[in-house]
Amino acid sequence: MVWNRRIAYVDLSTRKVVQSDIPKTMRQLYLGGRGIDMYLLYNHVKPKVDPLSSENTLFIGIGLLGGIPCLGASRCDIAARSPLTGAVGDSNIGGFFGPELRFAGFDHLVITGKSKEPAYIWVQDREIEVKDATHLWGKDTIETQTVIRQDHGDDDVKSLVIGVAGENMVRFANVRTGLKNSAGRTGMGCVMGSKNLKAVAARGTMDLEFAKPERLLDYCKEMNDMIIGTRWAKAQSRWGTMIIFSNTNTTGLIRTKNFQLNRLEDGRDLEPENIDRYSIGTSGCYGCIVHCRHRYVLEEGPYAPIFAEGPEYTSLGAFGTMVNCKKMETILVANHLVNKYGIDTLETGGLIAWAMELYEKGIINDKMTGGLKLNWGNEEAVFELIRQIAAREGFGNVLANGFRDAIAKIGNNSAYYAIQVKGMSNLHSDERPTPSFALGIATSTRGSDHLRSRPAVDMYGLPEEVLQELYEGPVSSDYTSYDGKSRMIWWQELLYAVTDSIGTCKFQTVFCAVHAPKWNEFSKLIQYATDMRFTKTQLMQIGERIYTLERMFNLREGFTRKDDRLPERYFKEPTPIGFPIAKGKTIDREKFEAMLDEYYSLHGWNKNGVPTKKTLTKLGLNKEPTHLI
Amino acid sequence: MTVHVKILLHAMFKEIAGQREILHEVNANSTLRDLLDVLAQKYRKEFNSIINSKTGQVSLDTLVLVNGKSIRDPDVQLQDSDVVMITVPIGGG
Repeated sequence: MVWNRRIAYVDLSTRKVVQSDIPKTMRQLYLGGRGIDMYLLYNHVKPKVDPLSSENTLFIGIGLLGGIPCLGASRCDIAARSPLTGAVGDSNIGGFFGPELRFAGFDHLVITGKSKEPAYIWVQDREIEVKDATHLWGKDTIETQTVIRQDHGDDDVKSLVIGVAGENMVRFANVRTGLKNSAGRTGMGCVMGSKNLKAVAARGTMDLEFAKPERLLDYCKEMNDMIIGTRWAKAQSRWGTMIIFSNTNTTGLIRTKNFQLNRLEDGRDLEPENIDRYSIGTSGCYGCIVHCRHRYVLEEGPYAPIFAEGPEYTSLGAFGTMVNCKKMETILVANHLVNKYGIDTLETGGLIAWAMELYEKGIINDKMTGGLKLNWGNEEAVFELIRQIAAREGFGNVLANGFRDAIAKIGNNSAYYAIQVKGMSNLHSDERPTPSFALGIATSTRGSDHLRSRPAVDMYGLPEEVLQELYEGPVSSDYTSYDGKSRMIWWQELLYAVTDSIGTCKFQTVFCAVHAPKWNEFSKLIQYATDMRFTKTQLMQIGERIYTLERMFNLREGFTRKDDRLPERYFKEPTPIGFPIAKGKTIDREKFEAMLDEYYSLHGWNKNGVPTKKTLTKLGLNKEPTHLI
Repeated sequence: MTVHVKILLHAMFKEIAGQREILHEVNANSTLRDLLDVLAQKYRKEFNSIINSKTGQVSLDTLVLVNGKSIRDPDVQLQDSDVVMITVPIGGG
């Protein structure tokens, strides 16, 4: 059972490792994964710590249900103070590492200090050792995993690794495992690089014990049958998240040429079916019945041979619509490059698209770019800039610290063109026609982000009685309306906080469909796996506790209501094309502020976005931090 | 009198029909239900269950958009030059 899985404190400076049990009270308050990581982050990281100093602490934790055979229960959370934003640093990764860590006897790792030499952490059946990684330094994310497996003579070793971008402390360097899985956002790979930590590798043979194993397995089968019986899961298992592109691009909901258009004209080659030319099948994460990512091969071209996985919908935007590249092959090459170097696909594409608009407007020129012609659709410039960012060379080094630093270096009104919130790039979605999505990217605790709250179901025009039942309050079924959308975002934030804390996949909850698993299904799975019992209300309160603690972390770091903002262009520039429902849209400033007021109120925060004493007391947070080191 | 609508098919609907775009002529005053009936008779399979037989509404696991707006009531009347998109509701990133 989860009770015999431990937490380990690894000091890279002294190479000392201390293990202890995870108190049941911590499970009851925070479950695991993101929840426990956020508790530890708030307590272990001193206010205003330099994110790249040895005082920043890195947390790795698998969700409470990690290892059960359904809902993609593989998800592992990685947290620290973000070197990109200065806010909550937190990113979630699937694949097979999380369950392997648990098979090796641990659920959470707290990594402090800094190694003098390149190092990696080796975890095996309740033993932890800090090992030399000099021979791994300089290797890409795929080679690194291969060499670690070879070193241990065991093909079943699973690793979280960084690439050269992490070594070079690119502020949006990611952490990777397998061919495709990435903890992409907020620069957790940069924090690893700052600690000279190349990898965390695990191999475990310890059994998992469950409270009611037969009922758990039966219920997992029920969940899997239900999921794979749906039309959305069938579509996702055939085309992956790319399938979203067909709808959003046709309607006019995708930012194109950075933020100048909201549909990629002549973008037919990016339609998801065209992956078939390169795909050799699909694969999935541990515990997943859907298998939403393609394995693809590129046998020709200057970057061939390429054997990789993906791309996600995100990459279609990052290296397609936003930079005005119209070939599937461009996406496949760029996806492979960012994964190999270990940089976040979304942040990289967002920065390059911004640079292209600055180049078009003459704010930057050939002298500043080192001769790189940043014209729209110039795929060679995209590939070269990816390389330069990872290597911190040339103009790439101007972008390698993210938007805030690049804006300070470039100046000259460049900030206006940056589509970012709290220093983090937005997805390629254009939220001007969808107020709920706009509110979600403004309020996310980790910067512009669709994975903290995105209510994709808002797009479906569901009957209002269905929405009323789901969100327990009135919500308009019109996705262009502002009515009830604060409630929608608040509710989704709580759901995703809990999903990230039990370690299941967001795509298999109310991201894709209202009838997908949520509170009651989570409650049963937790009970059968651990014997802990939570009502729906209690689970929602745990979500509220986690989200409010993240809010408290950001407030401590100086973030306020003024940071829950949108780029000015959302208010000033109407969407120029698309279907009538998407065309001519801006976000109404007054209505946006009213949504924000209502959103704070639903969380129990005051008008400035500060949790009230009553809320803190109700959530048991009034005395936090209780264990600040 | 007739009107023309453009049908855009995505995901399995595109695979079954073997084409992405269909320019279709319907009688004036035709409804979305009339159009979906024609498609169901022609292609069968997934097209048969776009309208939920119990509720009479567009099924919750299908997205039918007319000019970008999701439609659940199949009795809406189609207008000349309408674009009807049939796809699957999916979120992601």
